[in-house]
Amino acid sequence: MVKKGSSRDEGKATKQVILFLVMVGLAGIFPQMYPDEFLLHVIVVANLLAIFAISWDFVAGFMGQVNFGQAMFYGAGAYFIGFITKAYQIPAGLGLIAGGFVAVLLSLAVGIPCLRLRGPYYSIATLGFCQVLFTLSMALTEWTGSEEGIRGIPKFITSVEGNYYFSFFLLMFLLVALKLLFRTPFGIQLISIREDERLSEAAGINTNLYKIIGSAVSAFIAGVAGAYSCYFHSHVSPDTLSIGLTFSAIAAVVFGGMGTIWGAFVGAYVLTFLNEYLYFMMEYRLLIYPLAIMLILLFSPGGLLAFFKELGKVFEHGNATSAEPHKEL
Amino acid sequence: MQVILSGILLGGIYALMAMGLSLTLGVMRIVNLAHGVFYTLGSFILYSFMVQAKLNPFLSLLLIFIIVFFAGMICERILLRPIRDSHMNVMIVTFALAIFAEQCIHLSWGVLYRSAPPFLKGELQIARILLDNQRLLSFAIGMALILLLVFVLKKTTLGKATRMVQQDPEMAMLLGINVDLISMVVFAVGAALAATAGCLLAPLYLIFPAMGWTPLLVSFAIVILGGMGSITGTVVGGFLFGLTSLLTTYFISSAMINVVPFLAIIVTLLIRPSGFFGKEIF
Repeated sequence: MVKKGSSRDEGKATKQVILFLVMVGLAGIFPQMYPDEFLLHVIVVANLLAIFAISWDFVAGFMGQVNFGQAMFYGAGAYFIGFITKAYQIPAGLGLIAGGFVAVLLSLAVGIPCLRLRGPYYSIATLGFCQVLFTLSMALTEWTGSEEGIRGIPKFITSVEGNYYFSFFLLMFLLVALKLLFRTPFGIQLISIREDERLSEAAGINTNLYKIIGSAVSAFIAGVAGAYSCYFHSHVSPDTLSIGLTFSAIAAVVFGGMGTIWGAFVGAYVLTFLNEYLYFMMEYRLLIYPLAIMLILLFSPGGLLAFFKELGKVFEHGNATSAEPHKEL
Repeated sequence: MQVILSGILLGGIYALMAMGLSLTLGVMRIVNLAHGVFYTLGSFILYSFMVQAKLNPFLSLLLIFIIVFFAGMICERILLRPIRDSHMNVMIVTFALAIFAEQCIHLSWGVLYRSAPPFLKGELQIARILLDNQRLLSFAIGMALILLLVFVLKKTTLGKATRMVQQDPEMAMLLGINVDLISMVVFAVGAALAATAGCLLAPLYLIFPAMGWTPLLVSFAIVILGGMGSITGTVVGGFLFGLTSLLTTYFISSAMINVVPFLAIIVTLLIRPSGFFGKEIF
């Protein structure tokens, strides 16, 4: 039984690795084939949203804790870069990592009081905290520039093509890292908390500690994404702390399917491209996302990928990744 | 003194708003993130009724209560009933509903900041305290509704059935209580109370599409502070909140209003997670 399972897994793993390598290869030669600056720009935006959405999915889909203020981590990273580059010259790599750690500090501040409780407290507190930061970013005009934000942040990669490669590198690094993480005991224990918190506590897992660490990891990812977005747009505004941004991450994840890292990735691409190419619909396109989320959760809670899989097994190897491990526990 | 009295008057309306949320939390055990948007909806419909259709304010209030009540029933039936068992999905769906409704309001009324005319003009002066009649009237209506709600919950068959569902939904079902119907009515009443609170505050504050998030958080803070499912707790929490938020506005700045509910949530959760009058329900 065990052997059979593992050999089947190996086959699947090889398939995934091949698919992954093909994707990386395609991504690598893409700018040579279509050197269209606008398209590349859109892809960088999609990659950023994908990273951010994955960070949300890490807590919601794998630990079962819904964070309605994920944007605060993104915004914290972005504003950190905005503040620090005004005063000091720091290397960009250090800036990205420091932005991530600022977000981690925030996540500890919210997580330690709220995550030890069962119930919706974490969701409410994150929503509240994010609103607080949003208000502050609007109110403290001298430091944050209010609605205008902070402009003129030096880019560390000037060409769009360079940004394209860098954002892809970040995203791929994240995908591989998470893939490996969910093979370690730590990752499996995280998933056990989502499946049954009381039971995993009874099995001797310190669920509070795991939830806090998990939310810190998620915050780190979002913080790095925020810091990078600040370098990329060379601008940071209160939008990076808004409910709308959190909502776009949730929309991407629900679109693609919760608890599957690939889902967030696919969802982010679909949303970003819809957003760019549905411009003719003007403001009405903003109605599409919430409507789509409600419809998906009502009729196909597994997300679009699961829906297509049921439909014709078109996306078979795409979806069969991360939804699996918890079934084998 | 002036500030303290205004704070208490505001607190009454906050309590009304939080009461709706407390009901849905306690009875249905769901977290309704769309509560704030019903508040916004109430304000906007009131604006249309009073400014564009020139209706009597009290008639508009009644009409809005009925409209939002039915809107709430429809939302519960279509969106929430199929997924009521999953906390996470309920939260995400109500969040999506809030964004959806906010965008609809945005599209139909526009982004402009507005304000509704007062129901009653004039001011009342007692010694050196000056209060406008609108605040007093809003407070009186809010209090009357809270008392009515308490009366319904304590004395009528519907109220007793509701409290039964709150204590033990499965047992209630066994006793032949229609839990689905109760949930639908409770959600609708919650929505209608939020809309009424929106109407009562509309003449006092600015109206804009994204205005609902602060009252939503304030209500959560009140409910957490007072204890989930506790009526006394909610009312006391409401007054406490009205007071603190006006004191913050008066002594620090109005931009800090958002910070207060959040701090209250964190402090309460650290000291006494079940609130001051409540018991754990999750």
